[in-house]
Amino acid sequence: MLIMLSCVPVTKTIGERKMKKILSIVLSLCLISILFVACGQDAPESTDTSGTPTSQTDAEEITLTFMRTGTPEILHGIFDELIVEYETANPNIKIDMQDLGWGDAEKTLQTMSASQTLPDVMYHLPGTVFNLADKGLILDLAPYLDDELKSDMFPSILEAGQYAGAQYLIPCGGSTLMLWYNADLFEQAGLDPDSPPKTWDEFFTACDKLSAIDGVDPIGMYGKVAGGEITFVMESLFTTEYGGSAWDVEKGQYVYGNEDAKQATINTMQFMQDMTDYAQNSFVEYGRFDVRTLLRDEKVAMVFDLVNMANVIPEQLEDGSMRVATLPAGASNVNSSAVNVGGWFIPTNSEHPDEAWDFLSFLMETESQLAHATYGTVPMLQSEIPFSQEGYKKIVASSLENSYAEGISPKSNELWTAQAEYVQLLLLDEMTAAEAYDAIVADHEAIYE
Amino acid sequence: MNKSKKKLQNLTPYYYLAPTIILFVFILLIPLFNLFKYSLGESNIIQGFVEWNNFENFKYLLNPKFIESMGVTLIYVIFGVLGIVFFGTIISLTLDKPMFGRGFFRGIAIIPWVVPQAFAASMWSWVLNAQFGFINQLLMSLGIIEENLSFLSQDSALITVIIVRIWQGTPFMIISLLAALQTVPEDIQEAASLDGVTGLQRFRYITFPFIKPVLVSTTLIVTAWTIQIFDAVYIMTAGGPARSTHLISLEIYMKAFQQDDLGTASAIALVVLLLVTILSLYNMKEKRRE
Repeated sequence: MLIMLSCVPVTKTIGERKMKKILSIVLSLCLISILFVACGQDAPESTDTSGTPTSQTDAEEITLTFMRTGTPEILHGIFDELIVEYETANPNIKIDMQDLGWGDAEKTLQTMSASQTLPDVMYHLPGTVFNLADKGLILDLAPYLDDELKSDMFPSILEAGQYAGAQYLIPCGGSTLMLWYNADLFEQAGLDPDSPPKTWDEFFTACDKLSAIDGVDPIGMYGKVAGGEITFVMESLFTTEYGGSAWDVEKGQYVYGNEDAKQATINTMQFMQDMTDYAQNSFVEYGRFDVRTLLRDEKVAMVFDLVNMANVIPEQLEDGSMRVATLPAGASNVNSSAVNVGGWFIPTNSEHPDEAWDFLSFLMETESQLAHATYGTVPMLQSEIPFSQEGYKKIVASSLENSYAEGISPKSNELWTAQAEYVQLLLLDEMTAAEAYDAIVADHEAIYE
Repeated sequence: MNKSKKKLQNLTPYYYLAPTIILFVFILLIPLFNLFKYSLGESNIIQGFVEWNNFENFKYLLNPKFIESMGVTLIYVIFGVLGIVFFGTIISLTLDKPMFGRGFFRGIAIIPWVVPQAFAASMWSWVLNAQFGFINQLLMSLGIIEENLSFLSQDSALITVIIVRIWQGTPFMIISLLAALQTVPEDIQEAASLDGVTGLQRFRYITFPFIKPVLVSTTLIVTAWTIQIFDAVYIMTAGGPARSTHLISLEIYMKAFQQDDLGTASAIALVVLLLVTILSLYNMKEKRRE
């Protein structure tokens, strides 16, 4: 039509010119809209040679993106084999494993969430996952969860993945806080390495004796304000003093502010402040990772740390020169701890949730979980227990008894930051335990509100 | 010339300006508009603006923690910039003199500026580490100290990060001043030498008036940059110990990314924007006056 229009006689009136302009505009708009419609149209259904439509999913290869936050070099060693095994059993599914270190995990997760590009199956910590769930970005896995997996998981651990009545996370890694110690240094100090301190009093007695060794500090402490490290120490020690969980699940709040928990909280903080007398110089400069090297290099004799410490001292654990024990008990006389977990989740932006769940279920099978456990975790499945009865693993497994799931809510990061700042001031003797207690409770109240 | 042709001619400059204006809108005006919008309500990184909250975000500007961060930032900026100006001036005056290996030393002087901030911060963290750090090992092996020094403790961390800032910022001052020093006429300097003026007098009455415009504008630029420093301090101290190095930039990051509170982070960022704008306006005014 445009060609036809261009062929009209040159002699024309002003009215004709106007008409031509209008027609040109209308036709151009038509052409543009046709172009858009053509581009936006669905691809035609594929047909076989006989002309009958074929199912796309039968022939189509599905690629699932998969991400496990952590150290990529170690994780590839664990998951590459598992992925090959899964892909062999499921030839139409390819797993694309992507890397994400802990350092930039939070920021990357937020960016991926905002752009709806979270991987199909991902591992992360419940605080962040519940925050994303609050925004409708995480799939409730309860409808997918089968009885077999449900009954195999420790109930308290499965509960640690629940929030607001939904199962957003399937916990697959976690740890209690334990006492890791150097048996040789214990012997040098006249302590029995087979009988590590069981109570806070025994712990300080051991510290006194270990102080006599030149060039060694009795305890390695980490006082840097970082991602809930010191707050987890405080929460774990609190459970042994209070004899119960530090978290009220119903209220979604710490119990520190409750009248019956006040003295136990202050005592816990006093214990932590007293520990600093036996700690290495400038402990506020140290994070949890830094302190692990201090124990490994025999600069300190004891450390309160997670199961991941085992990756730093594997040979020493093997030959018995380094050992692990449950956390010394406070007033409750129960050797308990808080348990922190991380787990698998599926985001709502996943285009293949069913396939993603199938892969997730495979990852939660006993064999897969045992392979994953080499990265460092207490047993998550009851079926793992028979494989966790040797050496230090037995102590690690037994540390789960009497322990309580760490308090987690979408506000965890905010609560931890506020708490850690005051704990740091307490450790630096800038505040008394009672002052730090008041400040923490007041800040927490403000955050809850 | 008919009317429509004239109209077209008047529009021509705007066609040429259009790409710049479009770019300006996308990289400055839209983010700026979003900053204002986020600061006015409950916002987070994932959902953006959620709902209006009666200027609740701005209440944080009166919080003692924020005021403390402002104080820390003020000390960091004042001493950091003073150090950069002082060392930058001295080193550039030294490197301006004819001497053996001047080109080599000029090259060495700009290295800290070339090194990425995150890498430099990690390097300093290791060099200053209380347990294994190179400086402690060196001082210990020389018998100068008996017990390791703590460079990032509560009392020393702010001083340390200021020193690192001076180390990073001085090369820019050196480059700028070295360029400015080329404008000082040699004949005046020779005449001053013949008149027997001292080095200090020569700097005060001859060199300084010539380099003053560059010195002022470079100082203002360095000040604006120092207010915005984040990565080096975050990597070295994460704002601690006990908030002793908690700069405003860290406050913004922690609010936005760790506490999921983009609204308050935007309100704080507006304060920083205001400070940097005042500095820029002052810089422009100085330049106009010159």
